Amino acid sequence: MLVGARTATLERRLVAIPTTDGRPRPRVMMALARIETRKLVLHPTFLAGLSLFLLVMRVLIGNWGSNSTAISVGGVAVGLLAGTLLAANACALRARRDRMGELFGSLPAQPETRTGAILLAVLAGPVFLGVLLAVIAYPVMRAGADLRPYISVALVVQFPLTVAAFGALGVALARWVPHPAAAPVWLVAQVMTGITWVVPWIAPKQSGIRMRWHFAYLLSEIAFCASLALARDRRRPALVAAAGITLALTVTSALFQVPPGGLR
Amino acid sequence: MMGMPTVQVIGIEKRFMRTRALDGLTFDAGAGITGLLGPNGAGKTTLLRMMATVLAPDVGELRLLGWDPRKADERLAIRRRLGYMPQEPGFHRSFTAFEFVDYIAILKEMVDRRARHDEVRRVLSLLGLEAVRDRKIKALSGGMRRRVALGQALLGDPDLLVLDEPTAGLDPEQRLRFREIVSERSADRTVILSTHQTEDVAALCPRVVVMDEGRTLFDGTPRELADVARGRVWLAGERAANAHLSWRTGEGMHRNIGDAPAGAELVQPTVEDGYLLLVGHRAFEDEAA
Repeated sequence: MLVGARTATLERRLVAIPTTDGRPRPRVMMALARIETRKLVLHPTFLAGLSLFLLVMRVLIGNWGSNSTAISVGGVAVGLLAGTLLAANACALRARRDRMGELFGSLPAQPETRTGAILLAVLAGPVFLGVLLAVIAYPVMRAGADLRPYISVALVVQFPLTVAAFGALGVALARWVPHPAAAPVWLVAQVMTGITWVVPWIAPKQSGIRMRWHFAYLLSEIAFCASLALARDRRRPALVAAAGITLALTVTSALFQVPPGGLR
Repeated sequence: MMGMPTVQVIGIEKRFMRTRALDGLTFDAGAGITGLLGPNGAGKTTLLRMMATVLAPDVGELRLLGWDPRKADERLAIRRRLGYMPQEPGFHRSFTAFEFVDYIAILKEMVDRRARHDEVRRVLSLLGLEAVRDRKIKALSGGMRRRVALGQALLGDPDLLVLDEPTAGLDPEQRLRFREIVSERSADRTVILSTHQTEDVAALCPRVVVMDEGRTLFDGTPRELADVARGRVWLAGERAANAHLSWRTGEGMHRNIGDAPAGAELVQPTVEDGYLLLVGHRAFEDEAA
């Protein structure tokens, strides 16, 4: 009995699952992405984040002050962004949490198929909701005279991009730091350490941000997190190269998006 | 031998640090159900993981459906024709039974949505799970979860079905249903069934392999396994001193297994008697350890 238990424990630690070669099949990834999208947008943390977003927006409208505009405009989406990061992270950790490795290892689909599907879900689900909410929020915010100067197409477009960046970050974190505490710790560190402007964030024009660099930053951040997450499953040279290039772009655009003298 | 061997295990060895899980194991299996019996730690699960292509042997050769799982393209070909039910199948607990089996079906590269859903419904119906298909897995009983795990293994009617203790936790009716389902598929398919249930082996398997300490102790039919104990099982009013194993039956008599004394009331041995005679001593050794 004891020998059996010991062997089982050792096996759990030492199972090395040989993956299959070949690229993930797009149709498999798309089919999985449909399920992952549903799971992501119905995840409790995403729904909680969405609710917080709606609540903050409701409170802000009508109580708008001219101070701390940048923080407030960006801060509207805090709940949505945090919810996306945590939900994407939880979805990407699901297989590990539920000890599915052995069964998945016996199936023909490659591990990066699942990672790719979650990344597609991150793009599809929250981005769709982000767009929807932005479309709803735009006329609402325009109705408030105090808010009108801050509303722009650039601001609205940032919503889905930033949501996607947070989602991709959640997936990359899950693949490289597969611990349920990693994403919450990252989130707290992001808010508490004052590095707000070198992480994906929503910035109004009035903050003085260089908008083109900011978009470049958001897009390269998404690409970097996605390639980083996929490279964890298999280190294909192309993925490693993509991660390196997009990291360089992310750092460069993060630095250049902030004007000399800082943000207002 | 039942037709051409679809599983060939040749001198396989596997170590986990200082523990030797498999020690030069050799056997082959063709179409039909091959039962694997053995005590805990015998190496059954390690062997099944190798057959499921999730673990590679340190030494020896393994061929599945004529392919070598060490080669990536052949491993993929095996996985496309394999159904595997692990001993401890994980479950996405927040998924419904249908969603979970559907998810696995996608990972088995069933991409046509309508055909896939039909197949998922077919296996759930086969296992009597239609009524709970929209219930979350975390709300299902242990037996129902086992059936969901078996369902995903049956997707696509695989050529090679590897089942690690599939009947653990099933009630008698479910076990009978399981026997019915598996035996129907065994005519032209290879089924490798690891179990502690000797009744399942006796009822289902034309062939049984008994493993212990990573080696083959016995390879034959269930009848031959029972015959190992022929003339060595007897009933007596009390535990016999020279019995290796002895237990009091429901009728109040002691069923003794070992070297029967002269004039003992010998009884027809079962598969379990033969199995216990081969490996029964391990239970006491493990307890002493």
